[in-house]
Amino acid sequence: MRVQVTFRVNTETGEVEFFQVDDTGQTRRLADHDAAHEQIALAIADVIDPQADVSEVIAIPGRAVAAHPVAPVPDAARRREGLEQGSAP
Amino acid sequence: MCNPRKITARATRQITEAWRAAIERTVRLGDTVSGRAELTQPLGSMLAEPARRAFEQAVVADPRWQLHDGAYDLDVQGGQAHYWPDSGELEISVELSAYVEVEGAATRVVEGIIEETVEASAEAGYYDDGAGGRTRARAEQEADALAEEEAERKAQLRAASARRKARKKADSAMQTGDDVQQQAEAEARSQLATERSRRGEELNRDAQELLDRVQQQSLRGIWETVALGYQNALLSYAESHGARNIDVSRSGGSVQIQFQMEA
Repeated sequence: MRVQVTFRVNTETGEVEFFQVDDTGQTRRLADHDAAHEQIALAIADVIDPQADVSEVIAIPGRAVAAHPVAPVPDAARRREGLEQGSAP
Repeated sequence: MCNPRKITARATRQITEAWRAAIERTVRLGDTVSGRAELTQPLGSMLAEPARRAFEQAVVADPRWQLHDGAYDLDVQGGQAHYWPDSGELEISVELSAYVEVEGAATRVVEGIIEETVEASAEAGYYDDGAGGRTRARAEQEADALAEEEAERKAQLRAASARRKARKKADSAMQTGDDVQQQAEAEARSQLATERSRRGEELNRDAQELLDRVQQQSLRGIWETVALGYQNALLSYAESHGARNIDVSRSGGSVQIQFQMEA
């Protein structure tokens, strides 16, 4: 699976503002695709925080994903995001 | 010519010499006053474990943080920061000090009067028949004049003596101002206590303001360290996994890292 990792951290507050692992591959979705994607997202998130929660964001064609300031991706693309817990006091 | 006769005249002078001594004592006292403020930041509970690890690694690597008795010490403006790895607590304390000086004064006026009476007498002869022009009236005049003259002479001498005596009394009074000295000291101590309290409160307020600034600066440094730790950890991961198109960009107060990889 080919993934694009985007991570953004605020250097003044330590807050992780954005952390997303996008599946950018054009391969057909396999039965265990979701589990594999989640596994990859968790492995990368583990670098930052082993306790990070991972949730799925599904992009709908023609509509921006409100929660993330990134352009919509093709239908087949699915994202996994790991949200870091660290935040400013 | 008859037998000569004598007449005696007396004259007096009153001498009054006033003296006055203003006994003044001034006491200066000074002391160092300090104001202190401190806080404890529970970094351990504020930071996620990886962030805390990133921060601690940065602290260990930074020569400005010195390990001492189980804590890492860092000099900050006006004080010190201590990081306790065991508890994850960051303690920052600042102290400001100033020298205060006060003056206490006391005055006591002592005064007195020296009074003396000077007497002088003089004689003059005359004849009942006024032989040779020496009449009783003339003798009285002469005796009076002589007595007055003698009284004046004596008065001048005694006045000079009285002035010396008055000066001595005033000088003596000036030297015996122990009670005035004690009053001045008490006044100075009281003023010093007031000034210490007033300046101490000011310094505490200033220290608290400084602490707020130092805390913000320290936390900013910590967050920068944490962000750098994240960045290094993620880039290290990306490189070890053969990532491509690695891009690190800064915008505003944020750092963004992007890369692509096969997983």
